Amino acid sequence: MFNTLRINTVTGEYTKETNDEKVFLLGGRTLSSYMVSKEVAASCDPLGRHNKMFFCCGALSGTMVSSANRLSIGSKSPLTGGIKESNAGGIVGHRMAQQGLRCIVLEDAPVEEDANWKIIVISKDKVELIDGEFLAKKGVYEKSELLTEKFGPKAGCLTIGPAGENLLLASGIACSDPHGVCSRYAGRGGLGAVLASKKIIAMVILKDGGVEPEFADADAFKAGTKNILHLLKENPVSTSFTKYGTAAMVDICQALKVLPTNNFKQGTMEGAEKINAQAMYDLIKERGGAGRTQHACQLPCAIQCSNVFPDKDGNLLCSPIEYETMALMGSNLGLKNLDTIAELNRYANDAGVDTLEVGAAMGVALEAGIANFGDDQACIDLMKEVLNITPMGRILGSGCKIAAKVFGVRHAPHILGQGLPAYEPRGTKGMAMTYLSSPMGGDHTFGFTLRDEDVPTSKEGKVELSKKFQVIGSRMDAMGTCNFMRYSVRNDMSPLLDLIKARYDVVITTDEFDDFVKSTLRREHQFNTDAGITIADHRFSETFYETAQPETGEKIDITDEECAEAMKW
Amino acid sequence: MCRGDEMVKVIFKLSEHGEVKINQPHPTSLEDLLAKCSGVLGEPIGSVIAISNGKVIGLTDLVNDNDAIDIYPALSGG
Repeated sequence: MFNTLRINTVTGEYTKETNDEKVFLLGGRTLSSYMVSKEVAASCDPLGRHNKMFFCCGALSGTMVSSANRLSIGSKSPLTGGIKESNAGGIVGHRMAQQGLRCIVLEDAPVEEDANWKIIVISKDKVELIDGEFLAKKGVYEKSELLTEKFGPKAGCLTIGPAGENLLLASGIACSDPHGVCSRYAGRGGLGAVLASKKIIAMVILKDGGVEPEFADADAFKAGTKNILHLLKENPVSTSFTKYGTAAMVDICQALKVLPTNNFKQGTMEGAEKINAQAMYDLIKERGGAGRTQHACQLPCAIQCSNVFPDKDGNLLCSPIEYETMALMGSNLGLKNLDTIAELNRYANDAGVDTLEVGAAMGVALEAGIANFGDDQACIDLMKEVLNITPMGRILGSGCKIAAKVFGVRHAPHILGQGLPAYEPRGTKGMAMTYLSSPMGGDHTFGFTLRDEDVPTSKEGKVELSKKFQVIGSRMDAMGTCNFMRYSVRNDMSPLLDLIKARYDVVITTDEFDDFVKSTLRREHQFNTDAGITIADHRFSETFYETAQPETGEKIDITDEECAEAMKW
Repeated sequence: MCRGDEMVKVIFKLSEHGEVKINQPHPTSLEDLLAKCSGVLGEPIGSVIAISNGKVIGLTDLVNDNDAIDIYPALSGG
């Protein structure tokens, strides 16, 4: 049986429910999207009292299986107006499992605009709403320290930054990492604003749960856990992550001419090697101190793709710096300095915003002439405006689409209002197809085709390719495991499904599992349709269809019909 | 005998393998070339993205002598 804790954010009343359906067993995005579809009116105001939030851990949370403690957060997105699932590493999912919880539901919202901030504290004996005013208007780093001071470093905390408090649409939710620092972001879709709309400034899950995982077949589970470790260690892709992390994509995208540069106007940047994985690796090693080229965002994790970037004195500047940030807050702004990117990333983390969304918004701001591409200090100053919630900061913190409208920029890189990730779509039609057809808006993890495109610039066969990887990519989200585990099980999910059998004595076949994945996709698209999103919203800005990318000579040539086909499940 | 102008240069980016030169007097598929590299290196190559002259090449594409192929681990962003 799987427990759902339902909390009214106004009254503090709470109830526990139990379910034994497979959708609750799988947890993760399978459960969060199921709950959003079932319980949230698609037409509701995402920042109103009828929206709900669902925090779901996965089928293998709380066990010793590597990379299986992702936290999936579902809601209606204020950024896209559609369904949102955003997931994060960290320890919150693990703490949920230790409290015997599969899902936490947050309902309702205060009607009064001056309602006080509250913190939800979940312990084994009770759920409390306590005063959270002492956290208000503080950056995420300070909030994180205050939460640690009050609840201890082992508590699983999630919080929002000033951007969330001010209901900005690029705001995310920061979750505590294994060191107790709220640095692991469920960044996309404006979920920080949804939490803030309920006047919840933090949620804390204490480590007093004491629920130990039970196993139908402990020996089989132990063997299966070792098998996953073996698969991760043996897989060359996963082991490459261990040394360089996602930063390795800088070189790959530069070589493929899809490194977003100067507001997605180009696909290559002269001097990209100054911000590539090797440069970052060498710099971290040279500076030493707090710097780490490998770091686990959750425990246990054999991949350890995360990193800790130190300043010149070896003190922690930012953790982690991911490829997507290096591109959106690096090449997309014409920046070639890792320290600048790290500083931007730190300010973004402190403000509590999605680095992709604000990076894309800053790109359109620079195109509008607010500052010059490649001007390090100007970009840092703009990012400080987001942290300080100035009028300019509010515009940038509202995301790429709104920033483009305000600044009068037509070349706005987004789908459904969500900023594009770090792959110039005109140079990779597979990724373009994935961006277009995702129910989440511009999203890369949804169906990562780039490594499997024989001719990236051609749209031929890309409907099928995107759909293939929509399933492969969504499998990991579907049960709360890390997306990077997919390389080890992409041709055979049975090692993970065998673990489910050994833990719960429930058989889920590979076909049945994929049916869950596909029904989740159907459910998400249906929610969006019910919310009023049409195929006409699944388009790039017209400039991507009109203007060729300089390096490839390519334009977007994907039709609405092809996009609709890629959305059909 | 291997003449200098019959070599294919395979450059493993972000890898300790560095550069591997393979004697390749006749056009051959990338798949065969990678198999030869695997033999030289003594370990499987795994999933890769291969790029030559700024274009992605597939496993069945032919590689000619004097070509230079950049090999990247087939990673993805986070």
